[in-house]
Amino acid sequence: MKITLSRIKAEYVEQVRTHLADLPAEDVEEIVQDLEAHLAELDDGDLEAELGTPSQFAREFRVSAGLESEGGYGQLSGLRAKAKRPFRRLTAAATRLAGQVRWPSVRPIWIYTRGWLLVGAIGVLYYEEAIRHFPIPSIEYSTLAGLVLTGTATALSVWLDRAPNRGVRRLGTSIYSLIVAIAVVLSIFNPLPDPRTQGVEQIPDSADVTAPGVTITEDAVAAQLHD
Amino acid sequence: MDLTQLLKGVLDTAVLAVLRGGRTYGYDLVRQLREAGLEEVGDASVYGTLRRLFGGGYLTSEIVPSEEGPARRYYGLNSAGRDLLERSSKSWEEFAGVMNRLLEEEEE
Repeated sequence: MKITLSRIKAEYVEQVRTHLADLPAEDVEEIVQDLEAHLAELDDGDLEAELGTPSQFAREFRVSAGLESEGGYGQLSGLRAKAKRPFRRLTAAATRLAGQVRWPSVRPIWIYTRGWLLVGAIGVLYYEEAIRHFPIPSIEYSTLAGLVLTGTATALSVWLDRAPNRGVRRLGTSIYSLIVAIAVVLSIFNPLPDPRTQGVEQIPDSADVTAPGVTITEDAVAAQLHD
Repeated sequence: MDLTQLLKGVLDTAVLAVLRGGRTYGYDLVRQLREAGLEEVGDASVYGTLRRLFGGGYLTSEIVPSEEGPARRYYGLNSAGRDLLERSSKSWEEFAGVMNRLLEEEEE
């Protein structure tokens, strides 16, 4: 026997159906049948108070049916939800990580020096001899290029740290730090051997990388510039 | 304590336990759970749980026409469902025993 639901109930059912549209059609039909029978027991005015909005109902259903993590993507159509899921997981993990790292005193120093560290590490990676210009970063023997790049990298670092969007700020600053860490590690283990510089000791190299050169930079750079 | 969090872990068992008393349909199942004291239980959670248990092969389902409204789907326990209920029941007793002992130790 086909019973016609009130307009409000029919509308509610249709919205739930839309939110579950990515599930197999047969499953959706069965869920909708159950929901229609359920709604028949309620008054029109009680729907959202009893069941939540159609979107909430669909999400709660998905979670308890084991179709969805609690993060829930009930608002997205199936294909988009699937495409976004790995990315969301990645950004969520990165954001969590960034949130856990709290260096109240070291953090500002890190923001202002990591650009220098990055360019320095890249310089050493290409030409180990670049270490001789320490603490002035140089790229392919050019300290000017090194300084310009350091300025740019530092500006980017500071900009990211102050980005108005919280997500951009956290993710950007984490990725930046990650890239610096990779560059530093690579420059220590230098996988790009330069025949001219083979035999040059690794000690100054790692000294550059681990040196507390943090406070040296600005003064030292300025001093060298005046020379 | 947030009851909805606790409920998530035990809703399967609660649904199976109600169905042990006889097959029934979603709305009535929600009503029975609330009457038993699980007032926080969400309607959609019950339907999702039914869906998952049915998909896992623990429940029977049958459409029964209703005189007052749309046809209702009645859910009941099959033998796999009864086995699952028995296992869940044992796990719950062990867990509840551990928790009770822990809480009593705290009070001493």
